[in-house]
Amino acid sequence: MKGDRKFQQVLYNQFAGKMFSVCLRYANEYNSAQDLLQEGFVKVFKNIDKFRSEGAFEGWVRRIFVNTAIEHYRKHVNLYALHDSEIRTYEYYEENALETLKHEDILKMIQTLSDGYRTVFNLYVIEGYSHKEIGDMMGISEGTSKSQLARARYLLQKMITEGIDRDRRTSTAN
Amino acid sequence: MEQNIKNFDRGVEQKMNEHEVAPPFGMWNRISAELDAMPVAAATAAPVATALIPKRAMVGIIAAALIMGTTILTGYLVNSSLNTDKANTNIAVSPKTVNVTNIPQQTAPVKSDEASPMHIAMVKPAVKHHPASNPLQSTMQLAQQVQPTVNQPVTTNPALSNGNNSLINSNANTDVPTPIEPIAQNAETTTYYFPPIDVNTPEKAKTETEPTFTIRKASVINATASNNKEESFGPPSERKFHPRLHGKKKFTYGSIIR
Repeated sequence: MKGDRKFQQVLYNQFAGKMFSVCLRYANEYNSAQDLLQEGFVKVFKNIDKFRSEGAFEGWVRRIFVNTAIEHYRKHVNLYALHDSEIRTYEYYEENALETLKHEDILKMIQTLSDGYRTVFNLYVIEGYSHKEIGDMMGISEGTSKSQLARARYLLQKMITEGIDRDRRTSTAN
Repeated sequence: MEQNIKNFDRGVEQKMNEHEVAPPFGMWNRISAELDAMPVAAATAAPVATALIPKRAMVGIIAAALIMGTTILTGYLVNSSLNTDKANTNIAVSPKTVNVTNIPQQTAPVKSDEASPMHIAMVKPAVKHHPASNPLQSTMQLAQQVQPTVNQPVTTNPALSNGNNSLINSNANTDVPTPIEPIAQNAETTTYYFPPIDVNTPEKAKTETEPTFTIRKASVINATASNNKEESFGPPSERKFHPRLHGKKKFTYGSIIR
């Protein structure tokens, strides 16, 4: 099974779409996401005999891709705890603003975040890790993870709100 | 406030997990090519470590070692078996010879007609050459002059005789002299070789083999001494040297090649 190329191709066809979406969230551009996808699948096929069938196979594969992304960007990320004045929510954010946006628009906004903000936001909001787990995975404290997440959330809400306002202005102008 | 944050997080999560993004075209070929390249790299890295000793050389060394070991072992086994055979033959032959002179003396009377080899010593006629007295006399004639000592009446040694000897002497037939002589007192005795005794055979199974001697009477011995050629029974230093002649050729000790 480890060296069966047809079996590997079946697995690739089944999980490539979902995993490439994960890679796009953790990467800051399309080409970097491709590199993450290739590296992640190679790791999956190399370590597929270590899968213990204790959980879902998709979750195991997804964790490999997340760890690959963290390893890739941890070299370039120097995270530090933010000041309390920077940890705040965007007061003009409308609660139902997300419903007007598409998947690709939100993905582009996430990719514009810095590596540290983006990684912590992905790990906490989308993957569901706690701040302690994120601190252990990235080698930072829980406070740093919380402040990074709050800053990432603030920037996203601001981008979403500004984007909606821009769209409204363009639509009224037309 | 916190509820707004939770709603925002849940909304983003749903948007991200709802959609899949199609992977770029040719991504599987890239992954497959990388997977194909990995075993090759592992296979090429392994021979680097073992390149110091090629595989054929290793096989040759092992084969040579096996051949040498087999040769040494075979030689050792053959040598040990030869030594064992030598030791067995030495044990079987040498120490088991019996000397006739060890037989105790018999002083019982022996009739002249009965062949009693224990009392007859094989004495061969001694030939003495006296060239100074008559150089033209042949050694055969000299041999006839010599009287054999066999079957001559032997007077009993008074020191060895006991009470029975007087009876022997009274009953002795004077017409046919019978040698009544201890074998050890004769001048010339012969040591006979007996076959080796089997020490492994039980004592009961052993059968005593008596030495068989041919009784040579005086008449036969005289005829033999007169008809046969002269023989030298002395030690090797006293024997004559007779160079062997091949046909009519003169004997040579070899020619020196110059």
